[in-house]
Amino acid sequence: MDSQPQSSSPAGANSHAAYSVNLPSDLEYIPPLRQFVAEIARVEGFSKKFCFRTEIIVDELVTNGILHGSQDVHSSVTVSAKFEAGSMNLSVQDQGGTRLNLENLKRAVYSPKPPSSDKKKGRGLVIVQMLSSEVKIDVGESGQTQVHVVKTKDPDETQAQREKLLYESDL
Amino acid sequence: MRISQQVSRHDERIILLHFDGDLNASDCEATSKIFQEIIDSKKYFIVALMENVTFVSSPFLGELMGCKLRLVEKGGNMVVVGLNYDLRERLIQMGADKIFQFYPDTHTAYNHYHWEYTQSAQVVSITLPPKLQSVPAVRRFIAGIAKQKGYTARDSFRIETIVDEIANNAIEHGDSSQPEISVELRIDRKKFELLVRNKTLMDKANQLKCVLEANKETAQTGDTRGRGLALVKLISNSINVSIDKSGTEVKITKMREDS
Amino acid sequence: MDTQIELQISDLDNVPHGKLIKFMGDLDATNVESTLDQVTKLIKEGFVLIVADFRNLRYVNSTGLGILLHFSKTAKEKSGCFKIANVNDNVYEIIEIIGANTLLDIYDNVEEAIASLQTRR
Repeated sequence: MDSQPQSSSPAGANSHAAYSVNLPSDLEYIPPLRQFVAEIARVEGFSKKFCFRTEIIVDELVTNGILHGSQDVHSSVTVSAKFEAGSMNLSVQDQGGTRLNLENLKRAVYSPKPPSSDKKKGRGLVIVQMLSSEVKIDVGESGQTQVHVVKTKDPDETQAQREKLLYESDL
Repeated sequence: MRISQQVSRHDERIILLHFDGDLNASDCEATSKIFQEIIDSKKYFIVALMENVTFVSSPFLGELMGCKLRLVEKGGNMVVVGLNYDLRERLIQMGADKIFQFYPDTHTAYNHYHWEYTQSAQVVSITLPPKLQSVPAVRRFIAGIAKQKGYTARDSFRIETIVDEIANNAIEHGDSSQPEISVELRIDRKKFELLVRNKTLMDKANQLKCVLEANKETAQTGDTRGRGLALVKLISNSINVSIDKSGTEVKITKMREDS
Repeated sequence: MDTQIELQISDLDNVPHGKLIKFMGDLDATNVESTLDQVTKLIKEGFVLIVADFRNLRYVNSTGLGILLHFSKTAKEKSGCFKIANVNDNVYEIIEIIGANTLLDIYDNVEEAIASLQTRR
């Protein structure tokens, strides 16, 4: 185990909403998938900006899982999203790539640096890092790789919501 | 040029050919021989892995086109995977894109192979909390998959309607304490199947079974629920409801209209 | 299938080697290849002064950005340019995160981008 799975405990038993999708390792699924997760985040009360950022995080992590963590032809990727009042816990699990794939992933997550301008690849995880509050990798017993992302509401967004609640409680 | 071959460990009908370095005119003969050996061993599907190729000469491309033709005559195919952008541009200039399909990665190539030649269904499973507000996202997601997979706009719209009606029904009429509902789709080139599972009180489940399995005329005279489900019946090809202690499962099959 | 992006290509008045490309939809891993083929074809045909209108480009990911940088580099190698206009905030944020804002020529609107082409002639 490289790290403990993300375990932000929910505030109450039913205070969070959990969604999960398991789908074949096929890039064609990504456009509808990333839009689905973004739309769900919107339903769960997050801002449009938050949802757009979520969309790109999902895209980059699932693309990575398909290209570098799906050695078997019948591989699949599982995306789980748990929404709480101020944050989203997202995890993308693939079935595990080669040792080199894992080393590259760890390097990209734990010591990210943007590639040189002429490279066409390697920017995805930089984007994920920048748009998330926390990113962790967890490796399962049979080699599955799970990338956990915690994304909290932007400070201005939380403030706006607080103001809205105060306003409503005054009415 | 270096060339090595291996039988795909996923499907023994597929041969992976790894090409390495410059593919020159002088490599044509050796390549043709390798293809002939593969064909003689009754393997007709080849994935040409070109990630490490640095140059492709036009005589070599011509040779590859000829090899592909030999495979197609046997009902097979050859696709090209992993070309870098510059090489891809060069091959397109030489008209190779009209002969070969290019894929960015082996996975996408395999998926297309399975989709085209084995008719195995791809499965997507979704679990969601029983919230009506989540259903629009789910129905758009599934319709989006159908579109992405080449289903027509009309088929995709109908699939969206089916998901909407069945998922709403599972939430509205489900057991109020159910923690989640599950939606699964199985899609292949010819048909689409939707399975929605939830926990429903027995009398509601039986009611649903009656509505869904009754003939169309009976269903259409019902309430809103009946009308929605009647619509699903009209635009799908089959409906099955199974009820047991663990819950209710509705399975809808819809054939692709242009298949 | 790459159904999510559409490129509308038109001439630029008074810019002989210029083209305006309107990007519409989402640019991602499922359609970079077809986008690459269309734009590369233009550059190969000698249209090296390109203005890309992103008004209707809703989304771009890292793969999409990779080819935008590639277009910019290829056009510059041929003494041309690949200029971008009307970038929405979401897309701009992604461009900024990977530091591509310093590598790409970005303008507030198409008119400014075209005017900059005319001054270079």
